[in-house]
Amino acid sequence: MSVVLLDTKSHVRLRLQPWQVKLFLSELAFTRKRRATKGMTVLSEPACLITVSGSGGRKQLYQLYDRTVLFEPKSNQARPFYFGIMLMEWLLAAQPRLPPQKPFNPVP
Amino acid sequence: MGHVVNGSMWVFAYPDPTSRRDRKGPINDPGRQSWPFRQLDQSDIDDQITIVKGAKFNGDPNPYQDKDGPWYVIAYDGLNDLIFGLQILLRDETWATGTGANAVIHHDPVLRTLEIWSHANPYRCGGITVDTVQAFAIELDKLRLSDNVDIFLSGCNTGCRDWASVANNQASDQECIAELLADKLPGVNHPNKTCRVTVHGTVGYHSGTHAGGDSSTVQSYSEGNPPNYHAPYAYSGNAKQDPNNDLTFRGFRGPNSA
Repeated sequence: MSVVLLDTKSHVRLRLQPWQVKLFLSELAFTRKRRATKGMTVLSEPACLITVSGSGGRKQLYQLYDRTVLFEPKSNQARPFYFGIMLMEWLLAAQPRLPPQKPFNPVP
Repeated sequence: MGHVVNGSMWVFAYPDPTSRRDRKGPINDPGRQSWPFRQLDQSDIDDQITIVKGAKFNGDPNPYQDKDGPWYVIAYDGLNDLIFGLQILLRDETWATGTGANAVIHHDPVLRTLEIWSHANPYRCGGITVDTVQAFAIELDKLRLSDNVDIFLSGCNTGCRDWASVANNQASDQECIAELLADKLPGVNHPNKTCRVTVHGTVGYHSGTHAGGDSSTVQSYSEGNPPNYHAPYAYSGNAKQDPNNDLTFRGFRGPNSA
């Protein structure tokens, strides 16, 4: 079983370590038991794409929205997934540290 | 279809949900990695276009009160297609002043406002991402722009930053997509060119559009039962558009902007 995360901003790919996969799969199994919502109404884009590859080459694709919502495009089901905060932290830690850009300075 | 008002053009654009391929052009997006992962629902598009076409200006003179509103609506297949659509509009559209024997037909309007309505997050909106923003800015800069251009990135959180790390609860030092586009306009390839370009990003989870006059944002968003909680981004807030002031967007200007 392998789990690969893809950052949609930087296209950085992260293959999770076995201990991370174990944590992720247990959280995923817990989440999948919960009732799902059909589709999503919010105008949001995924920050992370998750590919879970099982035995026999079977793949499950998920999209992580706003760190906390897991969406399965195949079944059009969305579920709360707070473990996504941890996934995004791992993904951030796996990327090269970029130099700071400008300070936040909107037009008054 | 919209109308040119006093030589200025207002354009509302959205990614075509049926699109599968981009027009060839200078904006390179290999594998369509920048194209939105989620497409707009056709029913939402129909509703929003009806609102946008009926929208009137907020305080600006509109000589066409009895017809459609001034906004031109474009569905695009990719950023190259969007630029092509804008080029065609700027080339073909005309406006008239005077009546009867004194009527004069004018050509060559300028782009005053562009609103891109799409699914978005702080780093992606309607095909504009870190990868495509430079090429898009170059192509946009080649168009005939007004002295005071407004670009609205109308999706969720386009004017907010992501968190640096949830653990220390600080905003990221990386710019959001509205800031990135604003930094490059105007004059990305021609440093002597200057005009005022303001790129507006939303201040939270967005619904409605600026063009339709029904824009609103919320800091965090819940939907469904049990609720899916969409967490807030840095610098986000609740706001609602009113006829005189749209606080659902915050503007950014680059170093070359007037």
